[in-house]
Amino acid sequence: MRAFDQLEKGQTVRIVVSESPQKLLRQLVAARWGTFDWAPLGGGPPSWLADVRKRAEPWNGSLLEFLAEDHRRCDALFAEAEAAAQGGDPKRAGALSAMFTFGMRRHFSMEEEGFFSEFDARTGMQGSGPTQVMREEHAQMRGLLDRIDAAAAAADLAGLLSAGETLLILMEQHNLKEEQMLYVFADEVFQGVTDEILKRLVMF
Amino acid sequence: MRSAGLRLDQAPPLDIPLRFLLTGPLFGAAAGIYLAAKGAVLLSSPFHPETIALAHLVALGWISMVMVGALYQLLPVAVGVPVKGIRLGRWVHAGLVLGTAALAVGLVWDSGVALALAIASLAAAFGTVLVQLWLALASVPSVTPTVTSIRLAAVSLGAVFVLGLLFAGEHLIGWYPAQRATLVGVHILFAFGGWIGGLITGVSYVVVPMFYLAAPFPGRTTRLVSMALSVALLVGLIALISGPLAQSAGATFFWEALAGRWMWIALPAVALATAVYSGTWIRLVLRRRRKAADATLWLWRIGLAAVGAALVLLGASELEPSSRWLVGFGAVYLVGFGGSIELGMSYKIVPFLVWLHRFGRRAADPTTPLVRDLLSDSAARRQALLHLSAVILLGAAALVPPEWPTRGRLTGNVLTPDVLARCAGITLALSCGTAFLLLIRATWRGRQVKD
Repeated sequence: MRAFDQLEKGQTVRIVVSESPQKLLRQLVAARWGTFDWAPLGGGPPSWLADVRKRAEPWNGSLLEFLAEDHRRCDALFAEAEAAAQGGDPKRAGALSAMFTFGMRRHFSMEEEGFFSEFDARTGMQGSGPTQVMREEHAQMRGLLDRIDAAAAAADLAGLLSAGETLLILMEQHNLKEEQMLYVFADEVFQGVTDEILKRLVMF
Repeated sequence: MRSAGLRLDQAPPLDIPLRFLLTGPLFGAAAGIYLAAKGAVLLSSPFHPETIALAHLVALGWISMVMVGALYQLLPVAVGVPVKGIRLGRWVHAGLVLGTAALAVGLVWDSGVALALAIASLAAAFGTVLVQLWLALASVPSVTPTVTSIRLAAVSLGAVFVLGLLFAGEHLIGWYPAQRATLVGVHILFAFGGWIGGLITGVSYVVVPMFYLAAPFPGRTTRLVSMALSVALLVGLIALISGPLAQSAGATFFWEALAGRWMWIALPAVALATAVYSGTWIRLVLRRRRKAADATLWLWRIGLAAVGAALVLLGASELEPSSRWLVGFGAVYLVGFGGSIELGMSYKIVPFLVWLHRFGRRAADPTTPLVRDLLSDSAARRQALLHLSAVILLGAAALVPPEWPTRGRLTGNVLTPDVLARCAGITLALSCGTAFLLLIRATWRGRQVKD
């Protein structure tokens, strides 16, 4: 906590710990909400990895801002992994693509387990609404994430790039729909309880 | 609340965008074959009926064809508005194919029947597109820079459409309106600047950040580009309506002063829009997150270089009135700017759509092909190189003076303007033919694996 307070605005620190950092995250949420970005990059034994960044820019506390920033963060990881694969560095490409696929799966969980059901309940669009379409696209993307992981494990850089190229277009058009429509709508639906939802999402 | 408009699964049936995106290069190839067959005579004057036929094979059959297909795909998916009666797209496609072919036949063989057929088909096709476009644009959930640009393109298409019908009618019944040169100038300004320029910039605000992981276009760029384009179009519009007005008021002096000068305001405005847009594009793409440059990015670069070159040629035509500059401008703008960017975007969109519709549900299966299996980047690169050669040869063939070979001993009488024009035609036909094969193969591979 003290280490976080000593960070300059806009600065990031990477945490590597041997047990789940959820306790630290809970403290940050309780005491420093709205001043930090939390980005887990890998979870589970033997080590947990996360980036904590002290925000430089103001925080408006919307779902759109929170989730769109997570899209950009995953985009950046994708680009780094792709560059490493194109540079012919299987080790670096493997490490970065693992962070990317981890980040993407967490993002899907935040949406599907974090607020989709509540969104459906509040809008009365169970099973047929926009979240259903998003869930289907998530399933397609999970398939490609599995293929990226498999290619990385086999040090198959061409396979990694090929699966990545397919995923990227799917992912970007998906993100566009979410950012232009779903999140904007969700912010309207969740007016008054957004903070509560965001505090739940960040724990994923 | 927006819930009424919130439907995220409104992608059109696969065949609607594909039929437009695949037919486009075929018309490009037809234009190439026609140029190869007729030679330099087609490039000698922009007002020759056969030259107009050639220009419309490209402008309607290729460039506008792909643009209409892209709109059917993008309006629902990227802008978030459903297109009413999207299945009418199949009829629109048929109308465009028939109308463009009939227009070319009517102009080349001076056939009234063919021209009447062209007018009817194109009027039905573009009329439908315009109604669909306007209904969609009236119900957008939010006015993004893309929406503003597409609105500009839609207004322009309307103006191009009306003037185009007027010209075709002219040929048919032999009626010539006053101030014809201004009408033609405004037709081209709205077609090139508003319809093609407006749509390409508007779509790029979505696809450039998306495909290359670049930062979004800043609001000041998008505002300046659409404002400068609007100024140019407005000047054209004033020139268009002030002629008859000035004449009916007896103020012919005013009209004569304006008639020759309106391009002097419109051209710098278009040049400003182009410079601001290209400058921003280069900056964003240099700082993009994805470092590699695939064939599609090269096609974008060729497109932007071509639009700069085309504007220089247009400027030259204002300084030295010669039809060579104008023909060169038209060729480089349509094939170099419109054609390059459309090819690049087709190479992204066609294999992806095929993949999504046919394989998306079994993405995890390691035997399921991926987009690069449907259309490889190396094949697309080879086509891009062929396309670049076609653009350069076309520009050279249009610009070379008719007396050129007698000036240099080196080339003798072998590389005459006529030979150059035919080479340009053959290269264009090969390039567009290759593009079509790549796209149809991507579609077909998708079918093959399914069964």
